[in-house]
Amino acid sequence: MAITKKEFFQLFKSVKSIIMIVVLLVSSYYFAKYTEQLVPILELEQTSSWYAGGLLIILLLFGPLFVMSLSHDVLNRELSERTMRFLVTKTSKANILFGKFLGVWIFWFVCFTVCYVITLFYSKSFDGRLFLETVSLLTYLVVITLLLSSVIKSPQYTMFIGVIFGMAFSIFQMVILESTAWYSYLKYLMPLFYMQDEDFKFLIVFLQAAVMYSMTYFIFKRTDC
Amino acid sequence: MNVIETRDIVKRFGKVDIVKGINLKVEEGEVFGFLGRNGAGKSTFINILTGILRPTSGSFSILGEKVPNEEVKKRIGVLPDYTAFYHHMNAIAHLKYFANISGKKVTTAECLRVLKWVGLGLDANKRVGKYSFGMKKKLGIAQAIIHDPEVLFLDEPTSGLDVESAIEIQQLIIKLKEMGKTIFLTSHNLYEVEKLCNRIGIMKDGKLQKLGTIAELKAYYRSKLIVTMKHSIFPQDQEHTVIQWLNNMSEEIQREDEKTIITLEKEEQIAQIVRAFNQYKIDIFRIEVDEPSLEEVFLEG
Ligand SMILES: Nc1ncnc2c1ncn2[C@@H]1O[C@H](COP(=O)(O)OP(=O)(O)OP(=O)(O)O)[C@@H](O)[C@H]1O
Ligand SMILES: [Mg+2]
Repeated sequence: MAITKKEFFQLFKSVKSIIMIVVLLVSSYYFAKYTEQLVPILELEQTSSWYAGGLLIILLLFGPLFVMSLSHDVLNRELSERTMRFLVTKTSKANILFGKFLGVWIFWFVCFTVCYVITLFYSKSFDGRLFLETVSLLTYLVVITLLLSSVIKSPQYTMFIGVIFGMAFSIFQMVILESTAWYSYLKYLMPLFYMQDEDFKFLIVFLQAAVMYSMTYFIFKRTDC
Repeated sequence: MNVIETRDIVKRFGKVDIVKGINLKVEEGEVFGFLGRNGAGKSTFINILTGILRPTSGSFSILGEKVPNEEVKKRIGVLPDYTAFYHHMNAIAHLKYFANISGKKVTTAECLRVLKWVGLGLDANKRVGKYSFGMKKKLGIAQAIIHDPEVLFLDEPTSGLDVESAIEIQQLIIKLKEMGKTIFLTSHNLYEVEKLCNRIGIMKDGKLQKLGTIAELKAYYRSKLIVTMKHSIFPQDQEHTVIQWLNNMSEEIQREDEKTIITLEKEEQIAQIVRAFNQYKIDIFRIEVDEPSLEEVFLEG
């Protein structure tokens, strides 16, 4: 699909994304290389897949920031510049949204798969569950970025909010998971809550993404271009 | 077949109704012109038809299908009233991208041909960020026709273009009409509307105030034709008879030796006069009919 292709290659073309890919590659490389020294320091609970787990941790810490800062304007940029008008006269809004989602998603999927393959050289063992768990988080982040871009109409604001949110989100998640106050119920909204144990609860994260995707579609459909 | 059919389209912005219930039918192969003052709601209406805006109420169909409909979108081409592009891409990349979204693959040669039609042949590889207003408009028209749609919506296709370019675009529209496409356009240039359109609608304060062929509207707003004829001198023996005959036809006549200005009610009367002059062996050198202009129709009411 044309929109997907355009979004995908556009992400590769920007300087920001190149920097981020480099950061990702370098950090996953070093993480993999020095994992054994790091494990005791970080007191990780899991017993297997340290290497790939490192990648997941990077994604948990920096993923929101990376995805948001690169893709915060995936919808509202075209709306505010009104190039969206050309798209909506040519295809349905469902197609536009899915095309954009897929483009951004594939971009991050490719990035992380490459990083994952790098860590494989060190770990020499492939953990499908962990890989899928990483993908679920990735999907969650891409969709929440889409949602942000559909709720807030100005690319300047989403840039600002995206960066703040991106940095705060990881910290926020951990605070909530640790807390016992009334707002601790928010933990059910957090992807991290479903990713704590080594099981398949993380599949719920896909469900969360699906719900947010529907919300985005609902908002986008009602937006006049 | 009605290519466009709307039923009570209403659009409200905030608390104000901008489009107040429009019922309109446009037939296949027609060029329909939409006129009205700034802010009358023309663009709002056209944007509803093309799926850019959602109507507050009312329904419509295009090509016999209820809209919104994805298949219909592939068969229409749209020049919106505000055209912005991707700055870093050139014209050909735009056309390929847009055609792809419409579900059609186009070659570079096809893109170039369409760009030549709109007068952008030499700027095909320039980044669109460097385009002038008029050039963007032309690219807007190019992207509306690149996928060879059956129905075209053109919101002010020639405004902002230089004189030559405007004429080129008008010729293109005539060509598209000859190809059998149905065209819905808005314009502020009455001369252009008269040249291109079969039928027009005049919008005022969100309502369709007048609707009909240009001839109908003119006939409605002025029933008289002022005809000026230049001719040879009437033969002396028959001068009296001719004048008598003309007086029977109309009460308002101004006469000079070689010139007659006569006010008529119907076009057929012009033909009668020509025939009569022929019989009396009077040569006619020139006939000018001062019709009510579209301007008068437009300003009326
Ligand atoms: N998004 C919007 N929100 C609020 N009001 C709007 C919006 N878009 C248009 N309007 C109002 O609707 C009215 C009609 O605008 P529209 O663009 O349809 O006029 P138009 O007939 O195309 O005028 P023009 O000849 O200048 O192109 C204007 O008064 C305008 O202010
Ligand atoms: Mg307008």
